[in-house]
Amino acid sequence: MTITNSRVRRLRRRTPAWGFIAPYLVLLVLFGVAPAIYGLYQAFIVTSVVGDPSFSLVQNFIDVLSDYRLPGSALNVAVYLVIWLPILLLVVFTLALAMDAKRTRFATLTRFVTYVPGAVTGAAAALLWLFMFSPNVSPIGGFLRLFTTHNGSFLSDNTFALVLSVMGVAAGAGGWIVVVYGALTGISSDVVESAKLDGANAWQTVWHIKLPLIRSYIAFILIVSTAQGFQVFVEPTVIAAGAPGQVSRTWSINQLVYSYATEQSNYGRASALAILLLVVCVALAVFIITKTKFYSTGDR
Amino acid sequence: MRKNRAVFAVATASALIMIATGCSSGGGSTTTSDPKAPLTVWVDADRAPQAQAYVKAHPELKITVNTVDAAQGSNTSKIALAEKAGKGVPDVVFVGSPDEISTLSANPINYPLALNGVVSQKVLDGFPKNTISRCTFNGKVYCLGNDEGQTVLWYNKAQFAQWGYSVPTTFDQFKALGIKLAAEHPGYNLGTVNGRYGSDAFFGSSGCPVIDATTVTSVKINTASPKCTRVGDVLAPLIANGTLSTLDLFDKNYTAQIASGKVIAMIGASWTADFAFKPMTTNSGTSFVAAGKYTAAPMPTWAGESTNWSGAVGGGIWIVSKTAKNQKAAVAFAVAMTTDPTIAKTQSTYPAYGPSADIWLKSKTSDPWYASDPSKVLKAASAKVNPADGYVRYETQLLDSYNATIIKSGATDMSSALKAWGVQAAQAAKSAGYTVSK
Repeated sequence: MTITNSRVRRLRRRTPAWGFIAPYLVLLVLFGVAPAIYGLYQAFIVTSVVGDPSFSLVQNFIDVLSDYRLPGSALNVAVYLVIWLPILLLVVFTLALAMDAKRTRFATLTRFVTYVPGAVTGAAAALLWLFMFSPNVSPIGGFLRLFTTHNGSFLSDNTFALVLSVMGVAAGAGGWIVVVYGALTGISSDVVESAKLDGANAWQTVWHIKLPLIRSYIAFILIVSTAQGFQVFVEPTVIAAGAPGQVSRTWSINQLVYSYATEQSNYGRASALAILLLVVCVALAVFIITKTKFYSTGDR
Repeated sequence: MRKNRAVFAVATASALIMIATGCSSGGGSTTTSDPKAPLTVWVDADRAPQAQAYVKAHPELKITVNTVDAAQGSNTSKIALAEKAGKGVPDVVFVGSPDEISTLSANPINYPLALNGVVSQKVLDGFPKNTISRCTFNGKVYCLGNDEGQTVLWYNKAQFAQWGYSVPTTFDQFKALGIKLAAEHPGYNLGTVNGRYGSDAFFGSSGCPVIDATTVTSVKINTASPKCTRVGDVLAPLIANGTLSTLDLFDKNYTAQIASGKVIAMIGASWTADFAFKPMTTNSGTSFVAAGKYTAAPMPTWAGESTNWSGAVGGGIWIVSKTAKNQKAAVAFAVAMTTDPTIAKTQSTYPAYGPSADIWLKSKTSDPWYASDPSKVLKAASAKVNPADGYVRYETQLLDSYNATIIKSGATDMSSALKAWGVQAAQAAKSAGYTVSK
């Protein structure tokens, strides 16, 4: 009797939870899990020009890792990450901490203004920045002309990482500023006050009190941004269209994946490279999680 | 309870696998023709009027004309997906980047119908040999040429006369002209060599072996060949002095130069006048009036060649699906698009089919836009497209690496750029399933 009661109670407790999760779960399985499993299966199917497709555990991976375009694409993405990530973090934390230190009406306005560019995302943002970086129509055209290549084009393989970084910071910083600012307001004022009483100046408060307390937010931004940076695709694709023939069609790794799938109709290689990309991103995420003790709930 | 959950999980997983893999079966070929089956045709915007005209003339057929994106590779990826899904495969398709036939006819797509036997030999014989040979894989013809992109020397006759320049008949003269132009009239240029405008027009006409496919799985690539280095010798000084631009023909920085009359000549495809010079000088709002100035001259001859070979930039093709249910009507449609005399008149570009080209050229003979009648030059070039050119599965990668090596270097070190291009081309070819020989 008591057993049945507790079962019923447990069931009753769980049903609403499943109800809430169900719609998302259906979408996740249909458009996330199922394609991922199919992609994994495809990565082992080798398409040959003559004859039937064959199964191989390694062939597609060998093919993509030895592709002459991969080192170039990987280097481009690496340079982009090295430029973009530190600037993004610096901008986000400087602005969020400044707003937190001086909670004035001006700070609220700044928070809003920095968020606005983030409202224009994806292809639309790329198109907007395409204009910004076309010397003939850009408001800073005269400045851009100082850096044009021998044929008068500003966009080239050399300037591309910088262009994407500027764009990435402008479009992405606003959202993170709001998140980090929210985290900062969550810090108990008692803690900050006692630090002040102990004689900590503003810089020491930030470095020893505030930043350690929002450590998991830093980790979260790093994980999401690293994955985002590794998978950069829409921006280089759209912006390169503004300078036909000046920027590689496979500038980023994800564009190389796309090239396999569409230009070469080789789904096996596309899946293999996508999986390798996933492995790298997961490894980096694990590294960041362990280094920042992301999931530790104890001593913070 | 636990058992139930396990059963549910297995059922879900198997359902997912069925969803995921079920699509790859199907798509078998049909050989019988059903005269009542409807036709679905994919065309680009430029070809839509001629397709619609055919639909109007044949009310007995149920033809759906879909205007699709004409960007390079777009049709191939869409057809590949449709083949994989086993439905939505078009019965006839127009492809603007003809090299795509090489990908479409290979694994895993295997889209086209072999036209030998279903299209009469008389019709096939009406096409220039080179368009048929490019469409031929393993001895079978898989596409019909819609139009040709044979290159000629477009030039501003009035400007040449004013400055006392003579039209170059060899590429040595072309190079000398570029050096002279840079010295006497800096800021003017002799065309562009970005991407296919350099790779197909210059290296292609010279017969530089980079896309010389001998079979579907073997190709000759050797950028150290004199047929490549002689092109490099002409390009290097002219890129360096700015008389050959490295911008894309339709890059707005370059169209601005066309619009202001800075382009006094160009090794360009048959469509260059209609699609680059005419529109950009008519809508530019500048004081430069192109009408009555430009015309076509024969391609200059490469050093050591006995004739003036032409290159080919673009030139669309029609392909019939081998799974077309109403095969007869599908083939008839493709044949009409390329050979019908009425449609020939409405073509926007030089028709590949000989008799259609003759009809089309009549309108050029009397077109006052040209400084003189370009028709004879265009027709002669059509028969002279260098046979070393073929349609290969790595064309996109080839052009990308051409830009990454020769164009990006700005011709500062042409021999190492050529070498790098050759290495990348060979790697791209191998990756696309070719064995590469020199």
